[in-house]
Amino acid sequence: MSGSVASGTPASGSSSGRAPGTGGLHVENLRVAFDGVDAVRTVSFELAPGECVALVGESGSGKTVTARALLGLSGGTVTATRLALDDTDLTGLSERQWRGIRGPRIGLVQQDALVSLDPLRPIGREIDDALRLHTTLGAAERRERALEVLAEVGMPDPAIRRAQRSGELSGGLRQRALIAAALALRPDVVIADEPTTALDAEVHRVVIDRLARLRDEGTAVLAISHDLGAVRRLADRIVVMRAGEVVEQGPTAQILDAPAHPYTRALVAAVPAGKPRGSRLSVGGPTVQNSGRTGEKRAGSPAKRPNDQSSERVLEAHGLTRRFGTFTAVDDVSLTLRAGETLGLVGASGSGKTTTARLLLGLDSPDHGLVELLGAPWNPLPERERRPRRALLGAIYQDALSSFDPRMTVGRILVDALTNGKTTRIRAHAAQIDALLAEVGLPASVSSRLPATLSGGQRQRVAIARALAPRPRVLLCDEPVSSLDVTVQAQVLDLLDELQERHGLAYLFISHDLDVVRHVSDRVAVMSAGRIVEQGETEQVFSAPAHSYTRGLLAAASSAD
Amino acid sequence: MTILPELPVLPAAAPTRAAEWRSRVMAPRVVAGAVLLGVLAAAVAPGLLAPGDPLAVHPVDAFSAPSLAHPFGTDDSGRDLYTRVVHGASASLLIGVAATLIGTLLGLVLGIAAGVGTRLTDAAVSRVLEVLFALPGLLLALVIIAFAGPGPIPATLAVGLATAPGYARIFRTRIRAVRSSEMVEAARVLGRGPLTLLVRHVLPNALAPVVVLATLGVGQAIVWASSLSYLGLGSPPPAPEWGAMLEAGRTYLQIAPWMTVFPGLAIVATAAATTVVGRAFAGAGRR
Repeated sequence: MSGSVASGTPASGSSSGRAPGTGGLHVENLRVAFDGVDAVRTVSFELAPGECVALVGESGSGKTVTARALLGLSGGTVTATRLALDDTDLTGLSERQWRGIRGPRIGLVQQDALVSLDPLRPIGREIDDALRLHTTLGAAERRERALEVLAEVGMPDPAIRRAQRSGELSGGLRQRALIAAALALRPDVVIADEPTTALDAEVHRVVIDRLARLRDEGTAVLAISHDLGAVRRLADRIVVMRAGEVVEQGPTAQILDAPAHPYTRALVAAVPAGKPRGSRLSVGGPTVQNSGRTGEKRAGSPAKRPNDQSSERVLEAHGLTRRFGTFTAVDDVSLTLRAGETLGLVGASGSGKTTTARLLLGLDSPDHGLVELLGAPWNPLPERERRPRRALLGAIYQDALSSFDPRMTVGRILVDALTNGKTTRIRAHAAQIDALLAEVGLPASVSSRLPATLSGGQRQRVAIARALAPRPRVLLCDEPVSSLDVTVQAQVLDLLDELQERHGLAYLFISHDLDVVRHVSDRVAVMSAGRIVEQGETEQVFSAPAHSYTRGLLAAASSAD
Repeated sequence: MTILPELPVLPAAAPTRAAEWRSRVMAPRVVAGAVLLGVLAAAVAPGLLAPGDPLAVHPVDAFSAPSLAHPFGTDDSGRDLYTRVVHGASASLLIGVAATLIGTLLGLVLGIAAGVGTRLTDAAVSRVLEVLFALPGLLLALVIIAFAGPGPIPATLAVGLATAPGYARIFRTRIRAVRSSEMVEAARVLGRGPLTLLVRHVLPNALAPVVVLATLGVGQAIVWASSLSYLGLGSPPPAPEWGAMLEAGRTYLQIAPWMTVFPGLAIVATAAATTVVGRAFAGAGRR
């Protein structure tokens, strides 16, 4: 099925008769301004047919604005010394002319498949639209073509899926449908904006594979990503962006293995893969007190890790089972968390990780089983008796913002936590608030801000400060860094590590990101379909997995890297 | 719960967008604000805008068309319609505001009972609300007046009671949504009891839009109160009330249309202006 793509791509197809060597996308001194303020400036790169270039950088660095400018969708004022696709000049095109470029010449695979597909229209219709507008094919041919493209992207049962709407498809299938829609017109250039964000390891691999094959078949691929693992596998060259400018570009291996610019070095260092437990990920940043180099272990830290079997059991679960109707979300889960250690809980989405966390927090009651907090019964108790001991067990969540009262300033949120809810008046507690903010690396001025006005990393720091305020022994961390940029993720992970050492905290760390879990955990529990299929020392589980599910999970993740 | 993606900003130049925003969004708001200020001035100090007596009868001048002496014309008893419309503002506005207050307060009580109470209270209140919803609001008001008798105070009560179910339903839904939000769950994890959760987090967040809703409701209440007066169930005839004036002019629609046109315009303008201003508040609250 790959042959049909090759026949229509510019590398082998000579329908448009352009000379070899001039093909591809040329960007020289691209500048995009909004209301007179530059969002992107002096961006230059080349993208040849059959090549993949990755735009890499934090959110706000201008990656997406750049990509949208190449599609005439930026919404700002675009200027460039040269902006051309093959020999077509893309500067100063009218909206009408752009419509002839978008789709047939440059395709876009958007970030969020859930919102990028019309929920009311079958995916086959989306593909059909593109074909109807840009080709002269008849209805039967278009139908044929749609099935062909869906099969090319690895959509199972394309004839059935074609008639389904985005709501009826899983995240992975939706992403494939989006790619199919972009490929239907066989564009010369495909722009993929964070195509693997929020996908499971396995789906992630399929999407990367598909884009790699597209590149091998002669399409020029521009990938926008902050996932350096995916970038290493896919990209021939990398363009690193920061604050709207290109700071460094070059061949993938050179950029990732020998980065020249300090920012690129920070970006590469922040990736948790292959960094042992207790080593720093962030360069500089407000949490640094002992300015250690990244990747280096802090002196003496392994000795302080009380991961032997003698330290106090702070949280224990015995045979937890939770059913919703006939569906068993959590099935006979037992785990033990000791003071000062981190237990990682991994598994695909829907494997029961979050339900387990809710049972441990006492937000939901198990059908069977028992939870003990510091050796005393916890979950069979009524909420009234649990409440005085809730200070011992804190939690931080993936979406910090929605865990705050939007009407309360950071200062009031922290006073509420410090005084066990007795007051939200800041005055008498200003010193404590400043100390708490300093502990999580935030300036005292944050106190008067509303959480909505803070960045993602700052919000998660406030959430950590709030969780620390009542002096807990255990923190449940439910995907705490999953929605953060890799450099911010590194800072938050380092902060959590520091706080654990300082306060002897025990963490239950839930994540679908195996690299993150491997970096932070002393021990790991692997969940699948509500059961813990394997549990043990982190390195043992990752290097010699005993259960077939774990092996599959690791294989999918490593081939995606 | 956003289903649709945020639309990309269209590639229009900034100044034209600002100009368009001024003409399409701000202009109606300025006009509405001016109308509302005028109506408020008429309600507070009618004597300043129209020094005459709204009840003074001059049979000689009956059915005069609008002129310089009588800008809105006169009615069947020769009363100056401009004076009557100005003096009628206080009655209409008072009924509108009072009815909305009654409606929102009652709605708050019912909504909180359903949103906060046990499953049984919620079910009981919700069923009552559903029955009330089955009747058109104005019909409900008529039923209430049938029991209480006509007059401006029963009319106010009736409109207030008739609008309460709508408010109650909105507050119940909002309270339910906030109660099950992550923010309240996070507060529970911190050990907050049910009363603290309710007073500190649930009610303030759920009831924040009450002012906006009430502003939007005043316009509707004014129309309903006027409707009741038009049916002869509100203020009695000689009083300068806009609905009652409409009813008085109905008989002479062919020979003296100004008798209905001007009080009607006053009702429409006031209701529309409060709604536009209310929507502006609602928009500001969302941002």
